[in-house]
Amino acid sequence: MVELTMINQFLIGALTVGTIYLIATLGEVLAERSGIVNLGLEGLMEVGATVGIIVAIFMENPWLGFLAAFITAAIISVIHAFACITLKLNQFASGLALYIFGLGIGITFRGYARDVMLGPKELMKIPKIRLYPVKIPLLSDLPVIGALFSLNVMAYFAAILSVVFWFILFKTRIGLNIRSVGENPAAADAAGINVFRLRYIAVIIGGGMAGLSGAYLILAHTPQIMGAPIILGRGWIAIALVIFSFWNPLRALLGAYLFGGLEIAYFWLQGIEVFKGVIPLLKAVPHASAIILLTIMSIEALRRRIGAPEALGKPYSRE
Amino acid sequence: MAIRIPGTKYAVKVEKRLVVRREIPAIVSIASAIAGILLGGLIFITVGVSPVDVYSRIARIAASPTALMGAIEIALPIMFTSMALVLPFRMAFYNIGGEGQFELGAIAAMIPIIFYWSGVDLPQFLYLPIMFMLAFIAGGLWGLLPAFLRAKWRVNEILVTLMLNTISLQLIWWLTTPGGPWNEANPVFKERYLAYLKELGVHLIPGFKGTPVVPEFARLPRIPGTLVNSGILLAIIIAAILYFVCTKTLLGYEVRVVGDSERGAVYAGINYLKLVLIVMFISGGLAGLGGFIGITAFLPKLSPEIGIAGYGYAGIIVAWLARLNPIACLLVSFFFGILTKSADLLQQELKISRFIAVGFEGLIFILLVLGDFFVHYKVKLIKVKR
Repeated sequence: MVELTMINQFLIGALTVGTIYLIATLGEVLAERSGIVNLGLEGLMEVGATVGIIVAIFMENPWLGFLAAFITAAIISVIHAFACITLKLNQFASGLALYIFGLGIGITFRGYARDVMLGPKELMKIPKIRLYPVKIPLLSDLPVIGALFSLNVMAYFAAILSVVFWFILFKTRIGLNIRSVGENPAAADAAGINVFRLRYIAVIIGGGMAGLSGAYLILAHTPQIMGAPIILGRGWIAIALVIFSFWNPLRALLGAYLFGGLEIAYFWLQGIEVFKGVIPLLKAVPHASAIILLTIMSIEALRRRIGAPEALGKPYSRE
Repeated sequence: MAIRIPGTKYAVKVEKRLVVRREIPAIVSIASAIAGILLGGLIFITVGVSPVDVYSRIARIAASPTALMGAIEIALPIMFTSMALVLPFRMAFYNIGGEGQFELGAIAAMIPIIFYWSGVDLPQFLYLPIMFMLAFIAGGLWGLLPAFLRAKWRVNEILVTLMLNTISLQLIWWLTTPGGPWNEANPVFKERYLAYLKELGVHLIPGFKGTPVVPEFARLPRIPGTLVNSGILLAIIIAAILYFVCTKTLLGYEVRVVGDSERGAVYAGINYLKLVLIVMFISGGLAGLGGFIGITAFLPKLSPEIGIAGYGYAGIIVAWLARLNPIACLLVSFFFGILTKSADLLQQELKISRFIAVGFEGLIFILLVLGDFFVHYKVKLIKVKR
């Protein structure tokens, strides 16, 4: 029985943390399907975390925090969209710039909020606004799969969202258009699809999702305000997960939970005697796994001749 | 393409530049740095500080010799991490792993020092050259993995190098954390290190993350008669060599060809795998030398601080601002040194997070990327009839 509770706990942890990756990955899948890479996720997530918790505290409502984080990150992503789509500039450089900018201002404002804006009274509100697991009666008592019914609302929402994203991308007209814009923008353009508008929409929503992911991290996983980085490379793992999932939202679900599990495994592994001496190294397990998985996926993609959207990273101009 | 400004007799016309004059990229770089600093004033306003006050403080900081010295200290490692990116970025290989290669260099350079404090001696004059070589080799090896994976199976080098950055930082945490093998409180250092500290009149602080310090004989000295560390001479020599490699050698030529078109380079008979391995070994090695400079010139020990400072990431922006010119890297690094040093002092004086410097750097980077538009296009105001 004890064993079962442990497995249950582990699964709940893996799914809860995996949701951080899932939300960000879904956004990046959308953007990359339209042909635009956004390397700024990590920075947008820092900003999302800051805006999310500050708004949630002042409005005493986590949902407004999520909304504000989404909107802020979406607005910042407009810069990236403008640079890559309208000005046709280097997407990698623009994304990296967004990353560094987001990292800097995200952390600066979080530190400022803690030191200046928020008094002890406001900080006391954090336990009130954070997300708690919602146990679905009866189902959550089931062994092992009970974990699936003991999550917070956002985790359920994100799982549903990945199905919605999959449906939109693969089963609707607009999804077909987004994909064709990412594969062959010239042909899509000739067919009367507005390449620029679709790419703008995909990049802006995708960036907003990164903000949402950051807000989720701080409101559901580590609800504290520090003037230090808290995303800690998760944004980059989310980008790797896009490749891992072959740009498919349903596979993203799998990858995100896998990495949620790898991250959570840290807390279990550090209790094991063999690993006592190397505890800090255990924190690098997800990153080392990401390199291995990326390599396997790349070999697989070469072999099966599948891979990134054809026009990924290439600006489109009507010439 | 001309867009008429409504209600006037003028229109904005955008034209592709047929020839990009050499000074234009430099002008755009400088303009984006200035615009970034001015626009960054908005950040200060939002945190309730007058930008005028901040800029006058920065001007004062930049003018005082001690602060300038501090700025050079910060700039020194960035000079190496930015020069490290010149070759790979020129061939469109996005090595974002300068941070990790820097850290590996610092770790490797520390090895002889760890032996020294555990009682294993080398002739004293050998320490600096050995540490120098170890740092270069370790950084270079750390750079080979992403190069190999990319050339062999097209594994995305940006992601691999980033993951390696996290791994190397965790490596430092593990080595230096209390109870870790290189932590200063490790009993193997007991005899020699404690005696040394006693001589200095310092006590060991329990629970501190960090290795024992690098002894004086293994530190890079200041240039006699100045406040500047001799590491700057090393940076200048390397910049000159790198400039020569880029412009006058076959390697530099091949890098340019690949940068123009990877596929074209393969048709031209360039062995991409071999080239990328060489370039990344040099690149990682140079970033590793940054780590060597870090522990021998001013932070005389290894601790997670060296990674958290973000020298590797700053190198990316510096390299971009310097337009991948190694000599310009030196100057831009110095500018970043002033920026970072100012942020440190602002944190003390005005209680603003020192991460604001990172925000500034990002802002400058964004403007620089956007400014690239003006490198390729001319924007003219023309008079329209009617």
